[in-house]
Amino acid sequence: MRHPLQYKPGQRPLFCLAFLLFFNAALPAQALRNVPYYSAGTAEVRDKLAEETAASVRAKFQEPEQFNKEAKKAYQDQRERMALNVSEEIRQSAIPDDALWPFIKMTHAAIVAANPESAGTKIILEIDPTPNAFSIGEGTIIVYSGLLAGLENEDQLAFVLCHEIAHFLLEHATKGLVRQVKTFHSKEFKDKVKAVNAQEYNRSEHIENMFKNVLFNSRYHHRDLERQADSLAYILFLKTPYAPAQAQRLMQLFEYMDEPLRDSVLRLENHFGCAGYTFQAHWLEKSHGSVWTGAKTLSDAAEKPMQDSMRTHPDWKNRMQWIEEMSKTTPAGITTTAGVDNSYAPIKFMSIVESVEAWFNMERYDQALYFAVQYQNVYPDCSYFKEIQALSLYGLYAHSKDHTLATVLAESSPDYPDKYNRFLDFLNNLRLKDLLALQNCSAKALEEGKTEYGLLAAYYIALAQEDNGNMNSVRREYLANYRKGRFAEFFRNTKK
Amino acid sequence: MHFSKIIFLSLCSFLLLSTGLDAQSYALKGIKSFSSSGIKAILNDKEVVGYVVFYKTDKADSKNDNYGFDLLDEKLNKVSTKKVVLPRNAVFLQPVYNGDALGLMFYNITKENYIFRSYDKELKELGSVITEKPNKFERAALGQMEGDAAASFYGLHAVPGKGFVRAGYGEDKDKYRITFYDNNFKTKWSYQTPEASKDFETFLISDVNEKYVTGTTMRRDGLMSRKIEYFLTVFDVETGKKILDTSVENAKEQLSISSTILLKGTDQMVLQGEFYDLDDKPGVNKSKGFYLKTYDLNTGKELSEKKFSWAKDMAKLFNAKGKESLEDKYLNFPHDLFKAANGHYYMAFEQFKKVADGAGIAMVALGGSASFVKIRVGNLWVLEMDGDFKPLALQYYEKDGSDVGLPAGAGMVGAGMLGYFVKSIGGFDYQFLQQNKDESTFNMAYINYDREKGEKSKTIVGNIFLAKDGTLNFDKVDITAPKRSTLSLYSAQGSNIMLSTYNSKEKTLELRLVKLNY
Repeated sequence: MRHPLQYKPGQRPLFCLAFLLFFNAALPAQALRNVPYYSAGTAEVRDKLAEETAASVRAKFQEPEQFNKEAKKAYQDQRERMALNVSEEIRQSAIPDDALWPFIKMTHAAIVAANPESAGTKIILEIDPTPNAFSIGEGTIIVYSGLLAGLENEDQLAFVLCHEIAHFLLEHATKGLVRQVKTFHSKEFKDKVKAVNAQEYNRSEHIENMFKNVLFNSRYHHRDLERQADSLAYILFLKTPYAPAQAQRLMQLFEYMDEPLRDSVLRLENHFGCAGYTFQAHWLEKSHGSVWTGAKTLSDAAEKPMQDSMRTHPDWKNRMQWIEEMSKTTPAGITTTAGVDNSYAPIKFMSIVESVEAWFNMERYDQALYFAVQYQNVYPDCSYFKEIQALSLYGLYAHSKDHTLATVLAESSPDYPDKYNRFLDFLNNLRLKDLLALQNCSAKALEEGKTEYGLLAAYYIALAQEDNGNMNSVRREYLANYRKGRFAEFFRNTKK
Repeated sequence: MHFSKIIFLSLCSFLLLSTGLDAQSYALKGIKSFSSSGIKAILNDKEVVGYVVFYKTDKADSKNDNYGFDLLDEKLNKVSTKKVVLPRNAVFLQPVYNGDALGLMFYNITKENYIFRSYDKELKELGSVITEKPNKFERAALGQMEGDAAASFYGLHAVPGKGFVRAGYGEDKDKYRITFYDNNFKTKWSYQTPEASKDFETFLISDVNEKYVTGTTMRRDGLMSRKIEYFLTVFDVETGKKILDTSVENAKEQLSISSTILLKGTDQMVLQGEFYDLDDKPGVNKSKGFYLKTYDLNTGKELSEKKFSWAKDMAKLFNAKGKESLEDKYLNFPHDLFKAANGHYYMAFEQFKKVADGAGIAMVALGGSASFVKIRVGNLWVLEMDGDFKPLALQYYEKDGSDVGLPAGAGMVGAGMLGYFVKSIGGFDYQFLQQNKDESTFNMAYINYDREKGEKSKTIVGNIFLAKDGTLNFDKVDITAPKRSTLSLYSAQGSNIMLSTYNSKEKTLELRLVKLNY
């Protein structure tokens, strides 16, 4: 059964806020928005982008003639899997909006103008909270909204794009696939597999060692490829009008890009509770930590690199040193214009909104709530974050009732930062009745003159209270004011 | 223990991919076969502090196999993976944690001996020991029991901060032996019933703290004697000296002992058991009710006693359904007695009775060897008492009855012992009690096999949770396994349960926490 909150995110641009327009004259006024992107025609655009990209993957990744039949088949299977995965991701997540996408396309255009050999690349923006970008290998570069949200200025974006363009120009993906297939279909590897299969005893250990070597070589190779990409990226970057020192600043940002708002103080009592249901001190009880001290120091040394690679940018320190060497002009440690550029501020804001929306769409209500609450302090005039707070609380409530809370709310873990763990402990301390009451408190905090998200939140609050009268009234209000809105289909279906 | 189901997960290690999806789930791929007994909760006293996932990988040599165990914390975060080499056909019985060291107990089916290994909190190995073969009666008993029951009868008990203790048969069938190991599994002391003693006696450990090992000694004056006398027995943990061995009966009454609990921060214990008329045979006839007694361990003196007769005292506390059950001749088996931080005592009972088994009767009539007795397991109830054992509330939880077939000959077991027999074969629906460290909350769970006419049967978990505000709450969740999947239930912290789902088609195993509401 489809969970009530599993609506399909529609996209429609909304009105801008005055301060966004003030800071970014480059963006047309109607493009600036304080809600996630929506347009009724997005699905078609996404389908087209997905099909084009899949076709270009199939065209670009060609199996070498010298491969035998078996290797060719393996290569073709991998290529097809890539094409399908990439097109599916684009179909689900691409944002073909008229603010963020044009912005990064403009940056890309500046890089191509300075580096004509990059002309074979194109950019797709996706709604995803991960602060990352990647080159598919046939010329398409995917940029996640989480990355835009983590940057300070366009220069830093330009270096990221140069890096991904470099991967393409150096043919890392295409050569990588050939190398991978070659490795696993080489006589040497097959002989190793035969030798392992012939073992009567300790076969698992032999297999593990065999794959550890493959994995180690692959990781080492990956780091080498990243260094190559950084090298070429810097060369490409220097030809553009962007500030070279921002490349180092970007590496500094990578250290904590997985933890936005890490330095801000989170006072939960300011966001949860109201006159009728005040914040309760016992909600802040910390779970007493694991008794196993081995949880903090992994006893299996082989797992350490795996742990490090869980970060989005694990090698940032080495990369920063490398770029510093290349620049020889800006010593390490200088912040070089740190802080968000005024002209970039609207881009950052809209990307943050998309990233919070991404968490919400993935039903990761813990993350959506964590960021929605904090961004209320950063952007107090933006009602979207309050609305997502109310909706996320409903999501937690509904899943709690269904006994599926674990799918939308994590438990604290040594892998998470302390601040996030405290937040998770807080959410896990809430009882069902607390979630219901806190939803009601959120409703009171929503503004009158409801926005689309505000009305959706009001609907779910009424649903939780089993208040059919209010549900119908909200439904009517929405359909009267947002006949072609992002939730119109949802509200029309609920009538049935 | 059903050794025919070898208790391991076997897998191809190069396919082994353990992925923590989030901190409330844990997954493995490439699992060729699975038994729920390969996963055990680790308790610190009564609180879940983690889980062990035990599996076999491949052959190490001609006699031994490679095994591994993943240690997870209480939130299913992976702490570590350890590889161990054990004899072929080693069965994992239990993990035991004493606050400083983790002990693992295995049984070698081929050599018929126990293997113990210990690790510190960083999972560095501390020590190991391979025991001699236990007494043949113990081996025979193990062959009849489920793994968890085997562990509860003959397994290790944690001695907080000091080591592990266990009891079993002595050298002869009429003797028992209790052994205390330090954290490295070096034997600190061992006690065996004296040679000169003419009694047949067995000892079951009930509760252990840093000072005492308490339990029940059952004595008979001959192997076939049906007259059993119950004694409260206490050993000093440091010296192994028996400091108390007292009959709980007097001239006017006959008593059995079900459990003992040591009261935290005191040298007192509470004894719980059942009482009988003088001419009844405990272990044979059904009891007249249950009692609770408090003892001072320094003096051995009884401090208080409270009796509850089924017919009078309990009948008036039950609701209509509960009264019906007593009239319907259901017996009441005590699963757990414990004290909470609010000063109240709680006891959980499950109802059961013998019923005739038509198919079994037919088999016997045709010369077959089936039992003609089966057990119908009924409802569950929880009694709350104040610190003086005055009843405060009784919650009666109705569930669908489930039938348990008894092995041939088991029908001869007396009513008094029948419940323990059913428990030893895993026949009850009651699954576990979990209590947090400061005793301010607890949860207990049972499984209800819900069969409505015309509908597919469902597996429902009922969860009873004491919240910190002192309220007793109830919630239930459907855990019916999807197709091609096996679902198993384990205890967890807070108001959670832990479920494992094995998909035989995908060869995947997933563990996840499920929060019950309160």
